[in-house]
Amino acid sequence: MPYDTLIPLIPLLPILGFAFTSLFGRRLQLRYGRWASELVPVGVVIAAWVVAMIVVVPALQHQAPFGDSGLDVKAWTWIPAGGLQVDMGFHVDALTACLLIVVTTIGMLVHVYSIGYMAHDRATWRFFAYLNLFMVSMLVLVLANNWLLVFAGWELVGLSSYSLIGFWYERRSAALAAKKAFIVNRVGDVGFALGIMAIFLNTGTLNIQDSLAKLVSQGASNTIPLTVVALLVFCGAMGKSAQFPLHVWLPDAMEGPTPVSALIHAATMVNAGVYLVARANPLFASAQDAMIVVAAIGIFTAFMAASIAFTQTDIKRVLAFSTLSQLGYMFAALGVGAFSAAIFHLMSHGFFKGLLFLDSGSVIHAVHDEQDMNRMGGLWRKIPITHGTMLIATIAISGIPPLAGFFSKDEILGEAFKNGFAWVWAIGVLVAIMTAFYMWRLMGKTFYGESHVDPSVAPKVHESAWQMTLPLVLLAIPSVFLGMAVGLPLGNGLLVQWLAPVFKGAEEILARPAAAETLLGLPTDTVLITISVVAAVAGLVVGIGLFGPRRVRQETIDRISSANGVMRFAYRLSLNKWWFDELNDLLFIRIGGRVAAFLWWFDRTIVDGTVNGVGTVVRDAGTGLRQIQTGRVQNYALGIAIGLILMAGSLLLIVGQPR
Amino acid sequence: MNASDITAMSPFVAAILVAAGVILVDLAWPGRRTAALLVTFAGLAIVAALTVAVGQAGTTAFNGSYRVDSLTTFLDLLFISISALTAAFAPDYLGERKLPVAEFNAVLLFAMSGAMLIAGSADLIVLFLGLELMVLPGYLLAGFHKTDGFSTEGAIKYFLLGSFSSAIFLFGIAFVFGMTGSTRIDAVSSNLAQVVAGTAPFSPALGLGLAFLMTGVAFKIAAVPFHYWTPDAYQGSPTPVTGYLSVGPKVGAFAVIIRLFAGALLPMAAQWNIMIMVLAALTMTLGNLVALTQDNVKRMLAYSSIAHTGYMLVGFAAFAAGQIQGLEGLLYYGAAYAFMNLGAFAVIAALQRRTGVSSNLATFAGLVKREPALAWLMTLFLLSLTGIPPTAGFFGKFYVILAAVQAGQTNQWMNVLAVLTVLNAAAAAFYYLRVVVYMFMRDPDAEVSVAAHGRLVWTGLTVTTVMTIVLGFFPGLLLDMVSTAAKAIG
Repeated sequence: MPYDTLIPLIPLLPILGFAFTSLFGRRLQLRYGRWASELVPVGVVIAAWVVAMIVVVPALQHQAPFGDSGLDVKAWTWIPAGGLQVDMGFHVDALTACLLIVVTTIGMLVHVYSIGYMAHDRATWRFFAYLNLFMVSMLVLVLANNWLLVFAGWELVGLSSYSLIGFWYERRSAALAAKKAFIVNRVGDVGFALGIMAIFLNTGTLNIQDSLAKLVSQGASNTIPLTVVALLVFCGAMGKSAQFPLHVWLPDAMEGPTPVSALIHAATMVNAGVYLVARANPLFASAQDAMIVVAAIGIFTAFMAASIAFTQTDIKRVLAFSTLSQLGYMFAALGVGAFSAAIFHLMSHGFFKGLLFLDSGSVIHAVHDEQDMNRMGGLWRKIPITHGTMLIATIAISGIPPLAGFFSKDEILGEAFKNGFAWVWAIGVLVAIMTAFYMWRLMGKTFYGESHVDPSVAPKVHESAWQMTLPLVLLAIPSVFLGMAVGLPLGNGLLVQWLAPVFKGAEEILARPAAAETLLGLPTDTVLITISVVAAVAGLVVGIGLFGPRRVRQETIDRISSANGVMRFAYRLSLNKWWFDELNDLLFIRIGGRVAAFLWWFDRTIVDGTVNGVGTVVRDAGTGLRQIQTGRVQNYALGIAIGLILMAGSLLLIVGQPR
Repeated sequence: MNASDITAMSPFVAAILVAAGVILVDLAWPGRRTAALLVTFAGLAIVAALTVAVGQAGTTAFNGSYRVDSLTTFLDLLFISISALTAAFAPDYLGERKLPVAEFNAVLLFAMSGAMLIAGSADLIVLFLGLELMVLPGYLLAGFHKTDGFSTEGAIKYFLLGSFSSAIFLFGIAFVFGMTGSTRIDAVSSNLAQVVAGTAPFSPALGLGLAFLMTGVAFKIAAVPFHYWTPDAYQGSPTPVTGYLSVGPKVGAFAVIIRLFAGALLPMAAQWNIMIMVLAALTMTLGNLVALTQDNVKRMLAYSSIAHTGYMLVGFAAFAAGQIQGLEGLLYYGAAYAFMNLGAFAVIAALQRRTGVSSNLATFAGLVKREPALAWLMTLFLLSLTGIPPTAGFFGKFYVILAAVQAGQTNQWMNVLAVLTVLNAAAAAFYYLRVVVYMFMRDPDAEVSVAAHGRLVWTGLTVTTVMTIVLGFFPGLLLDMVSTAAKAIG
């Protein structure tokens, strides 16, 4: 197989789709209708999926020409500049392949789903052009073989995400949310850019594989300490993957159309940070302090976001906080050195969270653009496919065996415990209980109990069109079977074997002692699995008890929400999202605003004063110069003559005696 | 004279023949512009083919007074592209004003042959001949709109001052000949090397010669303070001619600089490079400062072309300071600048197809609604002129600045020059993007009718667009050519 041509084709196809749709989409839509403008962008993504699958299968199995270390494909030299050579080059190994599966599969299904979801919108061609652009960006990001190209993809992802969150730009909240996402991401990007510069300073190359090898072999003799480099790179990861304290943009990003939330803010873009850290695993493994920071921030985000999800009433926001929480799990896994577990969870989460979002979109569609769960309920009979698939995804995310979430989550928790991070494990188990609970709360409020749907809408509630339900069913399949397919036997499943060469570098550096075989007289694995299953079931049972399906204990819920003392504080903490928006408002808008106001004053009076002074001088000089530009040839000739005399004078002085 | 001499010079000879052929065709079928255009483009294709064929040989001709090397080939191909694009953009504009297309093309081709003579000169006399052959048709082109007062005025000013500077330049050659005893470039060079080494006598007249030569070329590239003619000549000329004048004679004059200073006078680089650096700093700074205040896009681009001269001089200064990359950067910049600037002027010319349309900023208001294609293309060219990646202009600036920084390791002042270049590039963004703001965010004062544009214009615009983008994505394509060309000197 000519992989050299196939691999560049994967990002090229959506580029063509993007170019075509932005150039001709509008005209096609006006002349022939919606379908004409949607044909190409959806078609190219399906084609890209096919090509990706052809590449993925041998890459995962380490067949020639991929081998253990992956295949490097150079399309052309992008920046040839003496010592600095940057290629437009791609690198495909098992890790890339895993990401390709998630990105192209979910990307394709979301494209199909969007045909149905956006059917009532005016400018669908614009939406599909942006979606294609996003696919390009994400594919470039995961395929790139050098940091600069990763960064280009990184920024493009941010740009396309901005355009898609703000797709309904007439809505002020959407425009604001887009801006917020862009700016918060920018904070992380600065760190990432500095990290790339630090890598280049240390190693003199931008190629990912070469630079990582060099960084590790140079060890302590690096110009910039590895811990600093790793933390800078992690800064970028925090921004894109919305980790505390840069998590504030993700919930607001739900202002975008729901397919966008599914694709970008659940399944792909937010995984970029996880991918980045996994890709740089030898770097992080050589910087143990940075690893602990990653683990701590990850598990803290997991806990905080889960606690907020308890009280949110907007269906998409609950899912957004759930995404934050699950991403926190992944970072915790990376931090404890369980890299393949993190990627495993990335994949299973990509599928079931993508499914949850598409389901929520289908629900929102059914109840006519209502997102408040207090105005839903009792929907399960009316939209059975949506309900069924969402139930599957809920069980999957809760970590009930044998669905996908169980395997990946259990692997994270088990590895954390065995690698000596008992605190990560303990909080992780607590978060697992919380996850099962808030997910059931979402199910209960949406599908069971009495209907609170607007009476004028209620009779019109119906299941969505096939373009929307088909992706739901297709996504439910991996949500159920992915874990069993690649996660067995536990701890050494197919996926672990696939990814082993990628993470070999980190494993060798970490060189952990084997964990104790037994715990409390029983095999360690058995104990850990039992605990996580019990935790998940416990959360689910409490959820079912409170929110149905049989009956809803409204009094108990009301009592909790109106309780006093510690309960009241906890409730308000959750409801107000730990007051992070308020904190940011205080820090950056009020205090920062004061500082900015001072700076503005300084700028206006001191800087501008100086500049204007210079400006006046320049303008006067300009007026003076304009005097020279008289339009009279004699004056011009005189000017040239004076120039000649000056030139001759100075050259005579300089040349003088050349000896 | 023998057959191999003719072979080596065949592209130049062919260019002259094509120019004559255009005139003959116009005599036979007066006013038939299709015939004239056909001969022009077919002729240019032949000249280009000959250039490529001969360029591989690498020979000298006429007792070493003419030389074909990879630099000649590169520059010749660039001149041919510039002429072809100008010939593609002009007919629409000229036809609307009842100006003869065939004569225009013939004059343009004569100018091109002059530039080609410069590129291949190995003797100072040949160099001067080439320079004159290139600029004399330029005066004709500037005054091509005979009934337009501004055109004639600009042309006469251009002609008078140009003759003045040519005389100065010729004086410089005389001085150098007097001091070194030869007009052959390699002989001059080896003689000067002896002077610098102290094995041959030195006379202050050599300093005078340098000053006269530098003044002469500084005028031709429109470097400050010898730029006075530019705004008047550029604004008065018919717009396609302005585009040509801002690119063709400029690159040609840089060819003179390369052949003269990088060839004949290189041994004294340490002495004259200070002047180049001062000229570079003055040129880009003043060009940008004055461009900032212009409301007329044509005049703004005229001043901005002065600024671009400054950037190219930075590359040359880096070369003179010992960095071959400086010359590569200069050549790359020249090619990138040719395509993007011709493209920008082509858009203005297309808008001005209808007589009476000014080139004021107001003309561009709301252009994206009237003619979206032109607005987007203009945006691309302006972004490239600003130096935004991934466009040709970005890599032009990148290579020039990179070379300056590298030269800065041995010469502190080159660092200063590099920083000044970056600052200037940033300042230039203001006036380039202002046009974009007008095109996309302002509404026109009055209803403007849309003119149709000929197929030739669209073809030319496609070429300039493709080159601007391709050179931004695959700089390696041109960089290979440029570095082989630079090796012919270094």
